[in-house]
Amino acid sequence: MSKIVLTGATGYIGHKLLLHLLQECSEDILVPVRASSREELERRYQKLMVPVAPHFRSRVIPLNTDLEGLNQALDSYREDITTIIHNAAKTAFNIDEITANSVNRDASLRFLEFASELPHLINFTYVSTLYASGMNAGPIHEDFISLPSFANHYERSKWEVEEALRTRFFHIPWRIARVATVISDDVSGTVVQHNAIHNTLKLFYYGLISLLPGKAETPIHLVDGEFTAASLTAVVNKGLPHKIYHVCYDQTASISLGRFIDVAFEEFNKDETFKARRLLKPLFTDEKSFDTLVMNMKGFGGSVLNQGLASISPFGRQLFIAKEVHNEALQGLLVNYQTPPMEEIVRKTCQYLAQTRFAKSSGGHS
Amino acid sequence: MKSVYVHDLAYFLGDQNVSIKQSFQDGRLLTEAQQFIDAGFAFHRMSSANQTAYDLAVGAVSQIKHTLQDVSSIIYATCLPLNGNIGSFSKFKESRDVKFLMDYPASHLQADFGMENAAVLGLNQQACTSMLGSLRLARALILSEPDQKKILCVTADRFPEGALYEQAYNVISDGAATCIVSTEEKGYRLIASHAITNGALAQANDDETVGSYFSYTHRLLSELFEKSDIGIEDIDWIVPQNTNTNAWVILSRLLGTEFEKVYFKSIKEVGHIISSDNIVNLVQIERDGMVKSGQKLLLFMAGFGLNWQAVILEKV
Repeated sequence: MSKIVLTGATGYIGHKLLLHLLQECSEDILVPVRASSREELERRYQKLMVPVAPHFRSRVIPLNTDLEGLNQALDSYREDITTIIHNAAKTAFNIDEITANSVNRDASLRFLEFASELPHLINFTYVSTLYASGMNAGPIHEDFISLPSFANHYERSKWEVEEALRTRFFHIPWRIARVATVISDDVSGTVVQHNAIHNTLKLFYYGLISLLPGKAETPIHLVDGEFTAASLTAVVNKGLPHKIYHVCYDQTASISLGRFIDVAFEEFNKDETFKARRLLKPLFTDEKSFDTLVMNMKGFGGSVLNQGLASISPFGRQLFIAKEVHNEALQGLLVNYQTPPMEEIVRKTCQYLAQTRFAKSSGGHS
Repeated sequence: MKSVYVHDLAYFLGDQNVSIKQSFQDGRLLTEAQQFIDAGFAFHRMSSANQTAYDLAVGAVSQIKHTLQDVSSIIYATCLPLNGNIGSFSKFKESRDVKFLMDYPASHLQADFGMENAAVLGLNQQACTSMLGSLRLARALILSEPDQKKILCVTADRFPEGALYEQAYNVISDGAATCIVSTEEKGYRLIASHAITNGALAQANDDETVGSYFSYTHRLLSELFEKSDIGIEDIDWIVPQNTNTNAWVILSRLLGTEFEKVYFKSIKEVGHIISSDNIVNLVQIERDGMVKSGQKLLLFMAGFGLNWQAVILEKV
């Protein structure tokens, strides 16, 4: 019986994608789960299954492996695997070079070597990032990008895998899905997973920073988790081989960095605790000044401040780059595609973050 | 409107000169010494056990005692309110008489220096911004009361025995500073002043203090420039508090001016002398012969409270 492999299913997007795939595909799904023992594997599997309808559960087959042992763990299924969705990655913008190389790039390349030898593989979907476009400004089409410069190792490692798909692994029927930054779980503004955006907002909310690298007019491209999972499912099911899809909204849904901050402070100021503290909006600063702040606070500031700065810093260079993102290919896959009111989603997300004091919703996510 | 001038500047420091490394080893600093050294600090000054905050004030004022005739007011500022009383707490405990908690250093200063016509004012809730607050208050007094022509401003603080000498990632020194604010055309013309207080951040922790530093400094200076009709391009020198050097690397870029115009050379030798920094740096920039007649100087301070204050001076 044909099988789908979904890596990174225990992560935020991977888990949402698993739920969509169970609904829309009929194959069993092999899910690599990293666990140190059989008991931990069972515990993580059960957690993964919480939001899964009982009649779907038997279709999820957990495999106890990390990315290192992935090929070996899947070896006995090589005749059955028809679809691979390679979603596992370290997605933080501040990952170090060694981690980016070993986890995001080298493990992916080894996995592609394995995929090359699968006799019945018809679909290898690689989940990448919109920021594989690096520091490129202007139109970003759903196409390959000649060697850009990068703001951080995360972007670079994702681009290198895309480049390997184009060159070394063109014989594989791959699709690339470049995902934008997830701001909320859905249009209601609930937040399940924090990323650089939420870490930045948290520093503003608690008054720990009053500088932000970037330009007020820079458009930022955000998506919600539900749209992302639905779009990835469409790419898996309907995408064409050797095509790239931007899992994001079109340019009209982008919001400028300045407006994003305005909306955040409008919402935060509805919270009496925040309002009473009379915290000011951050000042936009150049990259050098922000780097000076980050370097200087090392060893001085508290852990929350330094973790927040470490999260923003490697992403900061992107906040000067005006990208015009295109998603026509993705739109072609989606029925009833609509551009959402992004400002409203940002508003609801900031409301949620303020109301919960930046606690994360469990969202059924493992 | 008549002009008001700031002149006859002097300062006096704690009698113990201690390296940052030594203070870290002795437990007076929480942050590693090297962090402070990288931020521009090297030494700081502390008072020995028998040197009081009032002794520091006397040490500063003694240097300008020849100018004290006809002083009409004394504004005596302290960062720590406890330095605004030189009475004995143990005598209060023995007697239960609160007069020992109201033994004001400004009164003693008036008597000790024979400033018989001077009325006294105490200013002790503006933290490190107190000296700039004193200049602002002195100018307002002179402009509003015809008999007020010459005001002595003094700030003096010494940390209590056993205190940490680190505040908001700065190394502190005990010290005092003084100056005269008058209608006599000498020193610097006091062009404008501005202050902001955000009491909601009165007990801000160090990270919150640093967090609000840039945005509030920027707001303070923007409002000061607007109300004085002076732009950053008109400022020849910025004389700030002795804080982490990199803070002014960042601020000078934010304000659109060159870091080379920021003068706080004393940071290395004396650290952050609470509200005396501006006067110490003004004395040194004068001594270095760097300020020319007609040049404008921006003095800035941020402090607990949280308070932000700035003044613009013009060299006579």
